[in-house]
Amino acid sequence: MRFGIISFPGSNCEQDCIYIIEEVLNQKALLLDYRTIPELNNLIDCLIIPGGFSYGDYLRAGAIAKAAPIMKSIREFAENKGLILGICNGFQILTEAGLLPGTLLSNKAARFICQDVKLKVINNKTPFTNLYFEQEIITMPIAHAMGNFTVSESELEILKANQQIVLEYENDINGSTSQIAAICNKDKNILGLMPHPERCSEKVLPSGNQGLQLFQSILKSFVNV
Amino acid sequence: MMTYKEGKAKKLYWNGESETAQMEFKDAITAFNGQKQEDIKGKGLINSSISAKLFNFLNSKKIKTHYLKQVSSQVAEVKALQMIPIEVIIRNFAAGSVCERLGIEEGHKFSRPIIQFHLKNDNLNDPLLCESEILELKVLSNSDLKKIKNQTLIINWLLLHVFSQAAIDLIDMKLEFGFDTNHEIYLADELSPDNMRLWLRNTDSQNPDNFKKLDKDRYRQGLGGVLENYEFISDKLSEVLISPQDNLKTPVEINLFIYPQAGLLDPSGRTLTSSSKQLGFNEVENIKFGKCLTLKLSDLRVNLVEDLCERLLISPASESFEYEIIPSLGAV
Repeated sequence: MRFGIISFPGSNCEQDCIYIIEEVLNQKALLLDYRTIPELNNLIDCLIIPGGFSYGDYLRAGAIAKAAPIMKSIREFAENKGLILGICNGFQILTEAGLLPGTLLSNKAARFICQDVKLKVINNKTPFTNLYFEQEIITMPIAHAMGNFTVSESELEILKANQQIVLEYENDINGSTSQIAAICNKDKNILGLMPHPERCSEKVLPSGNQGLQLFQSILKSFVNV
Repeated sequence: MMTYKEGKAKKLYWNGESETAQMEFKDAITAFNGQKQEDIKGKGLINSSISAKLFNFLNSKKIKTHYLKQVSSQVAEVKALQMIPIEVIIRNFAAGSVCERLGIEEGHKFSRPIIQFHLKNDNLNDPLLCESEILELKVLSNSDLKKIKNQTLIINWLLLHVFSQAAIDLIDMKLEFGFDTNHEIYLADELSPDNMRLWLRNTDSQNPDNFKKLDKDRYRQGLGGVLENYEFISDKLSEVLISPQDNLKTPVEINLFIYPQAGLLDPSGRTLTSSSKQLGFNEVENIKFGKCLTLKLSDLRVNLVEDLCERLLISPASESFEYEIIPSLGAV
């Protein structure tokens, strides 16, 4: 399976993602430059927008990346039902670009939070979570200042009705509506999450390896297609 | 159609329901709040024509105006509006009351356009209003006041530069605005030498301070030749406006304010509040953390700022914005 990983100025998790894809999953990883407009539909099977601080979080986290040339390719890839995984800043970019609903505001406590958190799998019927059990409690690390996922009540009802809530924090970590940690779009081909699965995909790591199933789920859904 | 309102120089026909009204220009000319008054045959016709030319021009520049079309040579069809009882005066050069009030010589070029407001109230003699009085009287909200000032500056910029092409200086003018049923602000009333001062620039290098008044001051000051000078303006406008004014841009600098939406969590503001208290500023009860951006634009086309905000500068779910144009005259 071919993964594309975008590097924006200020992205800082792209090498971690490439490592997981190549060394742990034994798949192909292609680093994509934000200044290009590649034909993603012919090039890759899954796109990862990695974490970091694209454009230094100027204006708002993720706000400026949506104006980058490569966004045209991303939108076309999304329209073509390509798989897109947005991790942390990647999640923020996807909401800013309107590819995922809601917005990510400053953490309730106005602090940068960096710790392992317990997450509950709400929806395991997505290409990103099919190897988890429903209601399974998993651990992943988070590291963000703006992870407070916020939607209006009416939008929350829509998310629930369409099974778009994928992961929830076990505890109220950052003030997110309904303790949401990950959502997908209606078609379930785009996932955004604040936790970092690429930082917990090997047993040797202190945060554990429960992130690996997320990448393996992507692989499984691809093979099944 | 029935007469809805009759003023000194115009008559408005409206049935009280229709979305449009008709505005007739009269021959009457008055000065000093009606103390001086007479009829000048043909003045209504020429003012109607000047007004139509200027409104058509502003409409072509996508300025929201009440003017729709000409019904006859002296009658215009306009959008029915809820009029705002304020006269907005914008001055590029000093003339009239401002000279006496501030002790400034007539013809002095201001470094930036001056905007002043008068309440439309005959009993009180249309008094000068400062901005806090406008808010106090609840004539306008703060954000509507900002919008009207922005509109006034853009209209002034456009007209200043159109007249400039005919070697005419737009000294000052009086504008009136109204709300449509969606609370959108539209320019209303008339645009004629009855409510703007226009001076023909002198080309005589021997007497550079010499100029010719073309506007209602000819009547106020008993200079004579009202109709001839109005006709001169009308002819000059036709000459200038025959070429499309596509190159006439509105370069502006604006201050854009981005506010966190009320009711939403504002952790930065809250942190600053507590830090202020820690430094001993116990009076600080609350700080809201927004942003101020200064934008320099080569052309403030319609909805540019709104679109830019929506697509990049603000997060509509959590922020709101307001902007103000920094007044400037440009090179005229």
